[in-house]
Amino acid sequence: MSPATPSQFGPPKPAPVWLGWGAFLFFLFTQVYAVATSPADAMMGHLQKMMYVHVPAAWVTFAAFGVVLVASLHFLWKEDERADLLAASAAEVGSLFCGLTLVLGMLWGRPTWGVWWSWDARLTSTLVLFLIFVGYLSLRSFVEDPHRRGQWSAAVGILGAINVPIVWMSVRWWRTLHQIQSNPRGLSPEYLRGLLLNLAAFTLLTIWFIWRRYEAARYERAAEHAAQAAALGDNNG
Amino acid sequence: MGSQLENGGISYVVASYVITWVVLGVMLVRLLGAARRAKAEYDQAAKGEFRT
Amino acid sequence: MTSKRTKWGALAAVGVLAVAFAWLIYGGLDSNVVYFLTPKELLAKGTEGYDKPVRLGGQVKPGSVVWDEQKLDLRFAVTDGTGEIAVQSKGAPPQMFKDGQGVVVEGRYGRDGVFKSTSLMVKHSNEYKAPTKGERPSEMYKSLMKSTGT
Repeated sequence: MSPATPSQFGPPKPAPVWLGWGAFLFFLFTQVYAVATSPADAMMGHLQKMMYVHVPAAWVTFAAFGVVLVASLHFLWKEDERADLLAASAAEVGSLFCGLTLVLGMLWGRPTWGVWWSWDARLTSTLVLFLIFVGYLSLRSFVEDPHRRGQWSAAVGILGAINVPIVWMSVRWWRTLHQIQSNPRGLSPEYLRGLLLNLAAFTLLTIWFIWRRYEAARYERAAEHAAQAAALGDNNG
Repeated sequence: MGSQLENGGISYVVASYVITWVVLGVMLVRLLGAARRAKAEYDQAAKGEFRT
Repeated sequence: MTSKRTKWGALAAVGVLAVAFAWLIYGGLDSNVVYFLTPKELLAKGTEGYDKPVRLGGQVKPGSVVWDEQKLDLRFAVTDGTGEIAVQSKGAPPQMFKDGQGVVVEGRYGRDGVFKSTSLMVKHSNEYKAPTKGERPSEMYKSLMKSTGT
């Protein structure tokens, strides 16, 4: 037993501060760029510009919950505590974006559809997705034992992530108020460029969010390990 | 008929962008602080261990 | 440390739970919950279709829209190509409402053959096109600044 390694994994690889700010500045740039270069849509007018926040937010929600799925499976398989912490970090970031997607969708729906909300399959399944991960996060705060917490939340995380393809396909499987996914051919090039840039910026920002949250979680766990080891040392000594 | 939205609903667009920028900006700043604090706490705990 | 067997057990349990969960939540949706009926489907219900809360979806039949600004009374027909149902709605429609637009209306189909709508929703297509004449981005920007009051 070496007291110099309080965590069994040592310190995490830090998410650089410059990368966070860089991603945020890039995000601001792509937002302004997209808004400034897109002409009013023939049907929607300026409301088309909602696309550059709502669509990327939805996309990174799916991506973050995909990370939860992979990390949760890895945790169940390898019992690696780090995978549990990564899943939790991705779930937190994913929930934030899922909530944002819902709010932005309501703000887009009111002026275009005429209603803030309607219980169609896309909106309902997205809300279910959000609630599952809110449940995931509260579950984590209730369970004390790290190993049990990891197993339970991995199970919920996998269940939640299964909803992602359902949310994605909902507009094709069922009749919905929400339109189906746009494809590049259905988008004027000036819209497509702005959208792709914003997808990239949101993705970069999300990677940094998850990484940084994971870094914090690793330190928190390492501090717990250290405190435990210190307590044990006291008892033995 | 139809268009009863002022300015084609631009207030909704502005609200969306404001919300997005604020949420993501706050998240950025919070995470910058969270990781720094967690590291400081860890360093403290590790030091405590050496002392015993 | 958990043994290999319990690991497999845990994974299998998660798998079974996941499938059961997905089936429970979404399996029923397909057969029981149809978000809206098309005019053809609602008409096919015959007398069964009357006076029940239902959603009706289709296109606004071109040339069918009559808007009474004084009474805030809106009348139009919803069509799916084969069937067609007359709709009456109160209040101004959403900005994007127009001839040929996809719509979903909530309400009841009356015995008088008129669908009384309590909520009118515009269904947008997944295509986004700049107008052919094209408002230049710079002009757009000016109008954006103006409307936000700066």
